[in-house]
Amino acid sequence: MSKVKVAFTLNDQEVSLLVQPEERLLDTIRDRLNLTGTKEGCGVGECGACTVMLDGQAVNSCLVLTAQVYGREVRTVEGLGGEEELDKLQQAFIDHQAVQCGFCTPGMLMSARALLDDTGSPTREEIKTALDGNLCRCTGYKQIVEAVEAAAEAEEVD
Amino acid sequence: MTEDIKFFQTDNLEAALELLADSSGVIKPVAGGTDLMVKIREDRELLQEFAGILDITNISELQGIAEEQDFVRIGALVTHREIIKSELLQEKYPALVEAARALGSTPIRNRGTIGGNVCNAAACADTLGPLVAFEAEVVLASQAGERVVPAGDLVEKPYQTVIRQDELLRYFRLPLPAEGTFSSFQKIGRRQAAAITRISLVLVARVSQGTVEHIRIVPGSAIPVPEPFTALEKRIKGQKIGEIDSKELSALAGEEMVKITGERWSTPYKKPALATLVRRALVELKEVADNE
Repeated sequence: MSKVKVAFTLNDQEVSLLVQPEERLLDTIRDRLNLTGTKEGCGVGECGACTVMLDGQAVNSCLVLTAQVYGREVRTVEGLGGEEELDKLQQAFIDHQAVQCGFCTPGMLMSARALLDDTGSPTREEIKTALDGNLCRCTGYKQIVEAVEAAAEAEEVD
Repeated sequence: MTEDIKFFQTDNLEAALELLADSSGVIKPVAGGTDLMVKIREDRELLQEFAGILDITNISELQGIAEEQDFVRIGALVTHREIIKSELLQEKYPALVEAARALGSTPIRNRGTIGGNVCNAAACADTLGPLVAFEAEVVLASQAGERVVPAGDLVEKPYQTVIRQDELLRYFRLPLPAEGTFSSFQKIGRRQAAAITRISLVLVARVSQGTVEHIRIVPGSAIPVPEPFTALEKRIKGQKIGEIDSKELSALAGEEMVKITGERWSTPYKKPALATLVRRALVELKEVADNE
């Protein structure tokens, strides 16, 4: 067996484990680290259900080799908000009814968080572009875009 | 089984090249992995073709965008996101930036690299057309040293390049465009976001005092490997911009495509679609020339 030792930061905590060379970050997060907020949809980078933040940028965790994230920073939906309070984005998704079946929500949140961390007050076009890798089959997207706009405004006020 | 596959990681170019030169098995370099991971998922047997996977993402010699004396250097590891954000590339090579913008989705553009897009060499590789149209050169590194291949000669056929097993694509060298060079990228996908390109087109041109002095027209996806439409270019070069009949010329693009691909089931769609992209690009060129 040629397992690879990998150490990285996951939701602000150091983790270290042995993985298979071809293991996907998605499987490591869900099956080994038991953080099942990140979902698997298509498995080929089309749907965005598995989106996580890697060094602050939204990526498809189904397309990342875990061994490649050595020394890097990964954030999943479990790493949003604090112990007691929700991330502003999460609250805005609730307020705007941007969640229906919920399967796309963790990925949507991570794409949106990466956008807001990068661009303080994004335009509607920028929001749509940031979410262009996340499919939602329920909401029709309108509420999601509005929720991101509201969260951006709320963060600006702070 | 895939038990024997090894994972290598280095930030040292020499060490990477040494590993690739080792003839005991195929070592697959991986950067963003956005193509490779999909292929592995489709066919796990694929892994057996490799003795190992080499993560090249930490090799600094393959990173970065920089303007040098008479060219701009784009490292193989530059992501599509970095291309889109680069003010230098926006200013000098807008068609390349537009191609990167049109590629995949945000998470794919964050992770996928220009080197990977080119090395994977899909017929729909969005960045290859602009690189050919801007007459880029590709610098390949191996233990034997470097060799330089024109971007137009890099891909032999879809998914096959001239890059040897012991070589790594190090960077692209894009000649600085002459003052007043215009470029346009046009694309048809099945929908706006995250769509694989069905047909694309890059036009690079320079108009001086109303005359077209330089023109490159390179289609993508419509033909197996991006190459300039030289017959069409000949018809346009030296012409007065005001006298160009973009409708007639765009039809010629369709003819030139069929010359390369032959009549196929998709030809009745692709011919007028490609003609439309050529016409759009020529109309843009005329507008820009008129405003000067």
